Amino acid sequence: MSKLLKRILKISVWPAVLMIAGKLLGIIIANIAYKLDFFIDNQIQGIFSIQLYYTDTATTLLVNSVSNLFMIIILAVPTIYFIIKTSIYQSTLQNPRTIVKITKLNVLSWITKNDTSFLLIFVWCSFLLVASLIIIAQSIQGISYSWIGGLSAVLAIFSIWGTIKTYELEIDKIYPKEKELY
Amino acid sequence: MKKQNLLPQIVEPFAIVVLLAFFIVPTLTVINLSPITKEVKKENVLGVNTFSSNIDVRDLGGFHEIIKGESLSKTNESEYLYKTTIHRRDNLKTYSKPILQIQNNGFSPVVLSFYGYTDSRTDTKVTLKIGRNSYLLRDENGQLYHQDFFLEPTSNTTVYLYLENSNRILFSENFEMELSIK
Repeated sequence: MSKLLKRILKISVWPAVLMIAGKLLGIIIANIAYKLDFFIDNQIQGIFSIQLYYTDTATTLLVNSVSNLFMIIILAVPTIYFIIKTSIYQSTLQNPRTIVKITKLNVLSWITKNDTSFLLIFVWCSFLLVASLIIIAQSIQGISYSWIGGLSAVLAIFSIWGTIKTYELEIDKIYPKEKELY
Repeated sequence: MKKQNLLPQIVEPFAIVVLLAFFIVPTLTVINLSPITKEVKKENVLGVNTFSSNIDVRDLGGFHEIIKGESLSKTNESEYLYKTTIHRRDNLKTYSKPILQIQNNGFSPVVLSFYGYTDSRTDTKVTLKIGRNSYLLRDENGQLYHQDFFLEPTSNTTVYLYLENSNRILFSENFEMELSIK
């Protein structure tokens, strides 16, 4: 088995678990915070055998929106963290001003540890993208607040941009730009 | 002759399937965890619907000079909420209006429980007239009463709202009545 596949599998575990956990946590928190009564039904038809349901549309909308918000935040925070960390790390290699700045902020030890790879960002970004697409689709269907759909779209665009930027930085390491060499 | 290790080549397709599962399983789980809106199904052990589903409650509506803005909503499987606005009215006058039509389609009698209240402290006496009988919901002093009515199987009845007050009332008040089927 290739090393790349092994690494992707290893990296994919956490976002996959957090995606489900975020959704579940959001449902539990919404139910506790608003003291809601939920019902569980088992269905014979369709691909899902168990379905969570509420008796009124407003409650369904609230619970779905809160759980979607939790899920997207849980996935977006690490993704953005990895993107920012990699960007600053790469910047320190090219720009001495960045080193001075991060030394002043006393985050040198945090930034110089190169444990964030492009692959890690790519996998996290993919999960964030999948979650965003689900939320956007639900917002269009009217079963989630539209502002959460908008927020997901912004986060997805930002993470895609961050992933492309990280890819460019990684490529620059292999094929340095000519103008920087001469 | 050197023996070739085929194990990585056999494992690799499975690893790809696992990787795909890492993306597909959370996606399907998140979609399945998204709650839906549905009526609560109340069924007894034999799978026959309870008597409450045999009761048909209908808001009669229509025009009335002081009883306006009527609405009837089903709060759960066996409970209804009737709302109306009682407008300004003269003293020593009685007002009556047919408000609900209740039909028992089942083969057993049901008990209809009424509980009504207003949002202001006037001396209005609120009574329900069902058939030849009167059911006091609120007396002149503001005291509220629970009233039960037996509805025979395969029969229907019309509920009248009956109002009387000794003083002239110059403002509108909201009246709400809970109807529960036992």
